[in-house]
Amino acid sequence: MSAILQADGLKKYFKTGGGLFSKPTVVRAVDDVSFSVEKGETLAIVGESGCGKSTVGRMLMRLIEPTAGTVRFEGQDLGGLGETGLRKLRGDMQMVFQDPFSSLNPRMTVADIVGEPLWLHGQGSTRERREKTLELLRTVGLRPDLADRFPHEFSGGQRQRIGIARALASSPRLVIGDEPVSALDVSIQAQVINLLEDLKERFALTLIIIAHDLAVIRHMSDRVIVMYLGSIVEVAPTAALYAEPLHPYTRALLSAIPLPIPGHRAERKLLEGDIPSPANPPSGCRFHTRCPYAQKRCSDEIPLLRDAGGRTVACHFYEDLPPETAGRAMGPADSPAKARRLALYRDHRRRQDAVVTEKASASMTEAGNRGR
Amino acid sequence: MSPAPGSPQPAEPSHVLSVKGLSIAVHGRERSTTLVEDVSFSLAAGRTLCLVGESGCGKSLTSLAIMGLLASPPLAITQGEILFEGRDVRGLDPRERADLRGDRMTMIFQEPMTSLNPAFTIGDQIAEVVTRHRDVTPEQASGVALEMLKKVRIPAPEKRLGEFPHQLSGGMRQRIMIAMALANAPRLLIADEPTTALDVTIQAQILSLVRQLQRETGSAMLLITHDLGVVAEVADDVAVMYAGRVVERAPVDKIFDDPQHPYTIGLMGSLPSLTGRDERLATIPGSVPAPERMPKGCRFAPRCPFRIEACDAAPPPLIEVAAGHEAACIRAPLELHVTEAA
Repeated sequence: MSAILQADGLKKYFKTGGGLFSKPTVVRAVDDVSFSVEKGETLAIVGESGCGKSTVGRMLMRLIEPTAGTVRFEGQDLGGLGETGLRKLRGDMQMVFQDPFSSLNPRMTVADIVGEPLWLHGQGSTRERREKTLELLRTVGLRPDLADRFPHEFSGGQRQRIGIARALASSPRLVIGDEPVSALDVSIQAQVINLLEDLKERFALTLIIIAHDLAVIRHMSDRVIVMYLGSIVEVAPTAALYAEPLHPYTRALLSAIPLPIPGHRAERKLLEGDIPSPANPPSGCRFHTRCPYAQKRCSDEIPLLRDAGGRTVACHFYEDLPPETAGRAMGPADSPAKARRLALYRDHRRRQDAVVTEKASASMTEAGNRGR
Repeated sequence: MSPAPGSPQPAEPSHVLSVKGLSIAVHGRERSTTLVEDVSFSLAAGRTLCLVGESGCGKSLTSLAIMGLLASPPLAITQGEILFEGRDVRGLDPRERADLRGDRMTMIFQEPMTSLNPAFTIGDQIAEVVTRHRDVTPEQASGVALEMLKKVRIPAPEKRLGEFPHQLSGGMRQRIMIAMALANAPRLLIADEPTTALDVTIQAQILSLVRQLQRETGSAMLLITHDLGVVAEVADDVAVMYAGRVVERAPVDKIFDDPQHPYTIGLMGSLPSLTGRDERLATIPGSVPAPERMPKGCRFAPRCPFRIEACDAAPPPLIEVAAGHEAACIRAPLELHVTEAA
């Protein structure tokens, strides 16, 4: 495996407030973040509000300029790129946004939205672009005969599909999804997750998923970066992270998720207090104000990410922490009745899809012909 | 201690709330469209009922109707009764209704910032809830406000009394809303997606707080959510709603261990699990039909993998499939009606 993207010492400081007589406050949204993304993997960046995960995503795309640090895509430093270079880069790296309502231009038709990147990158004739656009709509599971409608005529899930089709138009190698499914209802969310997984396979994509939902991340990703208040606290392969979270913050996050298992309602240790403001982060380890295991050293000295056997963790004392109480994340197996009905459901869903595909392929050929 | 999740209700429950055959419609210029149809449930003191469903299923409308907060017109209750402590609140005049609200029945919303007045201090806002309904001096009301802030575990409560909503974090604001909602020890608390806007570590704090305070006060709680994890965490009983109807109703452990309605089963299959990624997610195809284009028969039929012709004939009634467990599906239990995988 080789790295497709490398971030080194990324920092983003925002200045807020300040006036004639007062100094502006410096918000350290991202403070010294380094990681690399392997070709073909799905890497997740997880954390709560204000942890800097979205800012990192935007800096990777150079949608915002880092205060310090470098991003390399396939070895090339993005910092040195001019207009033309950036345009080319954004063909190779694309982003899918959270809110399918605000990220699509309401005055453009779906065909224009999806086809715009093709036009921008000067690909093919008008007719070829139209054909490619319809093909893209089919790829994300939208009927091509809807191509000339406007975004408001679509549901949230369909709009997210449009956003994905647009991201795919320039044949990117890396796609960054910033909370790509968190605005969607559960049943629609599952459709979009499956779609992203299929597309990843089909187009050999590398995915970076920025999200706060730990179950979605567990399902989709190979490796997880956990962030807290602008810094990385833990990086680990997904299975290892969920089986044995090392950083106290990761442990707290995992134990806070309400599981869809009523029998599991045990009173559990919860984190006290709120997330501190990134304008005034705690000294030393930024998590020490909420950490149940904090000691004096934690408030004095910033812990560096260090090797923990195939993973890294930024905690002075992770080796000494009491072992995690029996795998909360494992949970009991489904009841026989539930397992049986789920199996029935899956089986009949497959039959249902088979029927739909037959019908759809007939109508799509027809629509494709009309499009010309 | 509240009863264990899913334990049967006492033989003669003193129902705080009974909703019977509730229908809500929106009246347009040309026609009326039914948004909630024939919804029934009841809720006893100290218990928690979760209304669960996706956007547009009618769960929030139902709760607003109970509170008497439907924007009317254009929304109106077209059928059914809402019995609160045995009285139909639909017969009350607006004044009596307002006397109930904030006192004997209270509500917390998803977005605490829009429910708090930015121009008044926290202390004043909690005290106002008390003086509106109780014959107390301003000092006594402030005393209650301070007491409530302590109860919802706000750090440095004396200092917070004089602060404004914008000075607080989202989690703190939601605690303030809970303090206001419980200040008069209501019989019924309605919580509409109370933790949806919060981060997961803060959500866990708020859920545990609500559960504990409910145990102390013995209030009944109607919790509205789309999150099955939250349901498993707090519910005693569950009503699953789809497209304006209740499709399944059962004690919480039955919903999760013995789901009957294809929609409930599909929802569970759609949930990514924390325990592994071995399996592809099951999905529910398509999306919820628009209210003016509701199918005549079962509303889930167009998306249902088990659909047969009879499903389109008439809306399936809620039928008892086991003691205390009802599902609105003519094919439940599925294994009796459907051929298993080859």
